[in-house]
Formats: sequence, structure tokens, C-alpha cells
Amino acid sequence: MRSRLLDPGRMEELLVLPTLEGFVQALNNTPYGHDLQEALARFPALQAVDVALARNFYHTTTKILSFADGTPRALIEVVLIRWDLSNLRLILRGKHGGTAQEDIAANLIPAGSLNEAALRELASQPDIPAVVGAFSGLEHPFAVPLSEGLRGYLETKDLFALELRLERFYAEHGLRVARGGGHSQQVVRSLLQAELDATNVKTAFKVQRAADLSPEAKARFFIPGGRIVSEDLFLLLADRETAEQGMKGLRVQGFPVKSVSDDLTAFERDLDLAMTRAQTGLYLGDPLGIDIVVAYLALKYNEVKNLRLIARSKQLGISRDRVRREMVVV
Amino acid sequence: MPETVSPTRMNLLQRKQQARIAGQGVDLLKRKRDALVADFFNIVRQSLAARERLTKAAGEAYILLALAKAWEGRESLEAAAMADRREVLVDIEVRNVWGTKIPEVAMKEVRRTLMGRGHNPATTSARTVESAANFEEVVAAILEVAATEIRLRKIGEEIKKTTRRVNALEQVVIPRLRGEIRFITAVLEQRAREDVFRLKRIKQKLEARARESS
Repeated sequence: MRSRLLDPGRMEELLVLPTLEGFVQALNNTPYGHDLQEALARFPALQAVDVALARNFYHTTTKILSFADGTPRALIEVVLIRWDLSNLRLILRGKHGGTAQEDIAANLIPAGSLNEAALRELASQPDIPAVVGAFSGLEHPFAVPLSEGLRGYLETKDLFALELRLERFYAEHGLRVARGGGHSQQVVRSLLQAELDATNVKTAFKVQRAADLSPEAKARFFIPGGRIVSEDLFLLLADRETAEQGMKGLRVQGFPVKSVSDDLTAFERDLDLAMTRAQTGLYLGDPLGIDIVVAYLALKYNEVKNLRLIARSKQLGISRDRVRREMVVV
Repeated sequence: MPETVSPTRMNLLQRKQQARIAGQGVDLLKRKRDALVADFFNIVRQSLAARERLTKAAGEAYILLALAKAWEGRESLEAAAMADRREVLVDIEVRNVWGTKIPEVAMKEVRRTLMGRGHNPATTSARTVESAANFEEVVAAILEVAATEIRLRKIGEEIKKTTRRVNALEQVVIPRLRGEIRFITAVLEQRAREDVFRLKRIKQKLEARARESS
């Protein structure tokens, strides 16, 4: 399957094309061509590219899941249900803010274990209690935390609390599934822990800039389960005065990004790049373990992001140099 | 037109009075127009600066949004946008410039904090936050442009209206009044000459009759 990924030379060819139409035409001659043809029949060029890339990614994840059963399948599902989390967050926010059903449905990406029909059914519910009710019938791991969080949401209308409950549950669930001593379990556990650390560090620096938040209010955004970042370290990072002390703690424990500037976006980009490189590096790991799957999914999603970036650069006339700086080449 | 006016002394006085008032009106309207033009150019400068800020803010914001959509995916950005929707409120006060009501649009702060936007820091990327902050700058710039352009349009319309009035007074009303004054004056003078002639003739006849009888 890796041979179907676009090599850096092909990516550069796509980048130097002068127009979006040229890019779409060239993308037709890649493994995305079939999905692109279908999408172009329904959407304008840029949206068609987005839809085609999402569909292709969905087909890839479905194919990968079909190869596996038993524990490997459960581990792959742990990696993939983060897409369900992302879709569920979109639906909950849409229902919370009163967004139209069509607008929610248009942005759902069925790359996880929930297929398009299930997601559309959830999006068609009138409000959050109805979404939770419909979700309960799907026998999905997120049904339990959703039901538990519903009462609190109905009392306070605090969507953050519901979202954070789901995030914490995802971390607990993933670590529970990957708790064994086998190689594949260790790989998925390390991956999840590294992601939790990265998320907590990113969150800490964001809440650090929210001057009106008390340490208790900041602490509610901490998601336990990471290897390096404990709640104490999170609170050190979340306070401007103690952040440097927290960074020292991160450096000592081998966190991939050693310093943080005022530009949070650049910091997150560096962190994402380090995470992507760590995941794609797994391709050189055990050929019979889950390493290959994790690395392939990281490579594939990185390719999707790069292609989305090139498509947008064609439409808005963003300079090639800037696109090259933004692209992640692994 | 002047021929339709009845050439009486009363009308002559009225027309003279009207011509004097029209002259004063022209003077007043020209001063009003000058004040409005000065205000107009002042606002044009503000408007150009606001447009420039808007163009700059929008250019950068759209690029950042595109980058954020590419990195996070459209679904992630849409989810962030759905988190907390709001109405942007403005205060409108009416200022009086030479009798012209000009709206002054005052904006409330449109920039929000991360939490104010309803973004969950644990699930919203810095790119999305930066993109949202940039678009709040765009909203502020749009409101500023709207505020200056509303004033500009209103003052522009008023300048046009005042110029039309000045032209109407200078080129229609005052020439017409002057024409009527000339006509009435000419008729009255003609009548006066006829009266003098008639009186002279009567005097001649009376003198001739007196000479015959003596």
C-alpha cells in the first residue's frame, strides 16, 4: 500500500502546477482519481478535492480494518476512533450552537468506526439528548461517557465538560485496550501516551494565555494518561511564571520539542512534525506488528494534509515557498 | 414666464425681497457645502486607511484560514466555528453637521478571548485560535470601513443635494426673480411714462381749451 503514496517528486510536480484546475487534473492521475471523479460531479473543485481526499482516507482505513481481527483489530480501532471523536465533537457543537443539520452533515468525515449512514443519523437528531439517545443504540465505546455526561450538560449547558469527558474516556479506553505486554500493545500505548503528552502541553500553553483562568479552571483541561506530563507539570506549564521550570521538566524527560517561543502556531507545527516523524519512523519497526499500520496511517494522513495545502495554495495564490515551509515532508 | 406676473408695485417689492433672501440662501448653502466638503475629505482619508487595514487583515486571515483548513481539516474548523455563535452589536449615534444628520457607528469590542469564543483549549489548535483571532480583526476592520463609508455616503449625498440647491437658486430661481423684477420695473416705468404723456396731453388740451375760450 505504501507504493500508492505519492513520492516527494510527485508532490513537488503538483506544487509547481500554476492553477487549481491543473492540480485537479493532475490529481486525477493518482490513486485519488476515482474518488475525485465522483466528488467533482457534486462539488466545486476545492471542495471536491477535500471530499475526495477524505473519502480516499476512509476507504484506506476501512481496507486496513478488513485485514485484521482479534487484538490487532481492536488496537487499530483505538487508533481510528479518534475520527469518531472528532465527528462526535462536530455534531455536539453543531447541536449546542443550533447549526443546521445539512451544515453538520457536510463536514463529517467517516474515517473511524462510524460509517456515513450512522453519522448522518446522528446529525439529523434535533438536539444533544436525542444525539446521545441515538448513539446509545450504536454499541460504540463513547455511548457510556456520553450518557454519563448528559445529565451534567442538561443542568449546566457546559459543553466543555461533555467534550472533556469524551477526551478523558478516549485516553482511558485506548490505554485499557493497549494495556498488555505484547509488542503491538506497547506501540499503541506509546503512541497514545505521546499524543496525550503533546495535547496536554499544547493545552497548557493555550490556557497560559488565558489570564482570567484560575489554576483550578486550568486543571480541568488536563487529560490524564500521558507518559511525561503529569497534572503538576501541566499546571507549571500553564502558568507564565513557572512555564520555564515546566519546560525544563519536559526537556529532562525527553519531550520532542525543547523550547517554546511566543508563536504558539509554530510551536504546535514543530510538535506535530516531531509526532508525525516519530509515527512514520515506525515503518522500520516490526513488519508483522501494528507498527506498519500506525506508520502507514500517519504517512497517508500527512499526504492528505499536504494535498489539501497545495489545493488551497492554488486557489488563494499562496507562494510556493510558503507552502513548502508549511508542508510536512517525512 | 415673467409675463404671467402681474406687474404691480407690491409684486415688485415681493420679488426684490425674495431675490435678497435667495442670495442669502445661496451664500448659506455654499458655506454649508464647504463645511461638508471639508468633513468629506477628512472622512475619505479615514476611509482609505480603514480599507487598507481591511485588505491587509483579510489577505492574511484568508491565508491563515486556508492553512488551518489544510492542516486541521474543514471539519475541525467548522466544529470550532459552531462552538459559540454571536451577534456583533454596534452603537449608532446621530451627529448634526449644518443641519445634516450623520450617523456615527461606534463598535463594541469584537475581539474575544479563547474561552470567550467557546473554544475548548484541549481540542482547538493554535492555528484555529490564530485564524479566529485574525477573522475578528477582519470583522473589526469591516465595521470600521462600514462606519466611515456610511458617513461618507451620507455626506456625499448631502453635498450633492446642497450643490443642486445652490445651482437651482443661482441658475433658476434668482435669474427668474431678476427677470420678473426687470419685467415689473419695465412695465411700471412704461406705465409711468404713459401717465406722464397722458397728463401732458391733458394739460396741453386744457391749455388749448383755455386759450380758445380767452
